[in-house]
Amino acid sequence: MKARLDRPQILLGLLALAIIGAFLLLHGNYLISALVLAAIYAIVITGLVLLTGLNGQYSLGHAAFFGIGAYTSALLTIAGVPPLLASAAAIAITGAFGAIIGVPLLRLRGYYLAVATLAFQLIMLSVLNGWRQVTLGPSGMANIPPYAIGRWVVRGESAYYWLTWIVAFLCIWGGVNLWRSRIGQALLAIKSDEAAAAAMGINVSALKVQIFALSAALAGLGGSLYAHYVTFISPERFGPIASFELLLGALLGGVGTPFGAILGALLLIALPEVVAPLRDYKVMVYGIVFILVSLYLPLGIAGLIQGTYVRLCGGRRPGALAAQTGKTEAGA
Amino acid sequence: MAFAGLVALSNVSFRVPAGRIHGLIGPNGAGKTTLFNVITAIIPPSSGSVLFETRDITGASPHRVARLGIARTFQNVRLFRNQTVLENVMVGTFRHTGAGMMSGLLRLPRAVAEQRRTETEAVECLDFVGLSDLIDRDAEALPFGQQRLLELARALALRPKLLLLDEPAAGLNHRETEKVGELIRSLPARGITVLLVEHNMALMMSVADAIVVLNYGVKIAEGTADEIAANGEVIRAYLGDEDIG
Repeated sequence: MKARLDRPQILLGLLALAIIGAFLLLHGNYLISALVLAAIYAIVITGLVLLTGLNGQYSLGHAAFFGIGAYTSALLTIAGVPPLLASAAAIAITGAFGAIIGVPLLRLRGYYLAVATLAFQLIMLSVLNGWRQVTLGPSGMANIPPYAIGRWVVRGESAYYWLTWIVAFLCIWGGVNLWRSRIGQALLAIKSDEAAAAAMGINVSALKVQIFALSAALAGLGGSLYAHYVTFISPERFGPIASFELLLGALLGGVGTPFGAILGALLLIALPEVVAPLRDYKVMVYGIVFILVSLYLPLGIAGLIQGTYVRLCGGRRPGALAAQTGKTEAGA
Repeated sequence: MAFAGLVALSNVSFRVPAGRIHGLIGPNGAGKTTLFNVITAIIPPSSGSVLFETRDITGASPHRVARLGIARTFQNVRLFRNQTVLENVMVGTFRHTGAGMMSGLLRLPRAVAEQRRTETEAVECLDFVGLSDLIDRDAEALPFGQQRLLELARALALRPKLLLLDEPAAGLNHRETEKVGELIRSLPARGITVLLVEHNMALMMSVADAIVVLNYGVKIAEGTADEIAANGEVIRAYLGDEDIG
């Protein structure tokens, strides 16, 4: 990771080129709309990568933050608030939710933490379904206005492609910056040893809550863009299966670097196509993939690529990366 | 200090004068590490108090104690295993740096400049312990002796006023132990007060200005190295006594 994050500019440049290249290749193709969704997922998954990869916390409740962001943005813009302000509100509200539930979560670790976030997810799903005066219940909210930045109204697939991928790119860039920063390094220290981190003067609880809030806020931002893009939202899209898919995307893409979020998001878009013939057994396949990834690819595909790169070009063994999930690189 | 139903320390009271190396010895289970954990607020004492400079730091949280300038190393070496040698020491500068999450996300010039400064400082700390050639190694991949030195460099990066060293020579060979001894001796010149727990008596006698002896959680002696070496009760505590049941 370090060897690679020392020169993240190269990878960020490649990402920018890929974003432009994909547009030129697929312009007018139905795949553009799939890529818009991928960009939105990449934003949310970046939050999960930072939470898990930097700080070792797991969330099975991110679809709830995604939903809170989507409903916040939908309700406000339907009421006449400009979308840019609605996005800011979605970020602020999901960030605040993250901070509030982050405090009791401080006492929990690993799978206990994941189960507690799942409980939050279920509560939020009930609220979205039950609070009909505001959310219109299970029938969902339609006619959400398109996104707009000042006078520029975002219409058509191409416009959403640029909007969502520019935001996704900025999130990855921010994630890469954070990873290398003082706070990022402190979060990594907390992940290895909380007592030793505290002995460095790091306020462990405060930072754990902060990263949880940031992670939730990124999900909220993704949700806000999602609502305007699809123009119709209903609670079922923000349930536990969606949370599970997002976490699967993060782990599959790789939590050792923010770039893993891009891979995870693309896989999340491709996977349903691949497993489409299985229909009702889709979730079962997800479960199997989940188990296989945690056993054999603890750093996801990004980790696999980096491991291969290091092996081919010499240099550092990817041991530091493997250690980040607390597992050995069993199968790779 | 009552701990898990046992009195681990009782009525232990001593002062560590600034700019000195103060030793703390005692047989296994005497309460030395417990005392360190009380000072660094990992374990709250059931009674008694810890004073640092002029303030009462009893019951503060561990990160606050560190922020006041008390650094420590751990008996069983606790490095940040996912980070490189340099990154470990840079985390040690956390106490006197200030860039927050936002300036980190946006990579603000102020945060970048601060990080350059801390990197230089971290390299200096590594240079001091002789590890500056190993900057990009994984901390975990270092041999044990170098891990101890890295932990020392990380603690020095806090710019501590008081440094608690918990058996810094345990597991080291003769040459490494001598090197650690030299490093410890040079700390007061850097304005660092040292409280040292160490089983290696030769090392302890060669660096400590004064020594406190604990046995079964009670202070049984305090004095210079020579006084302690001649103290009958200390010798009994170490060699064992048929009468102690």
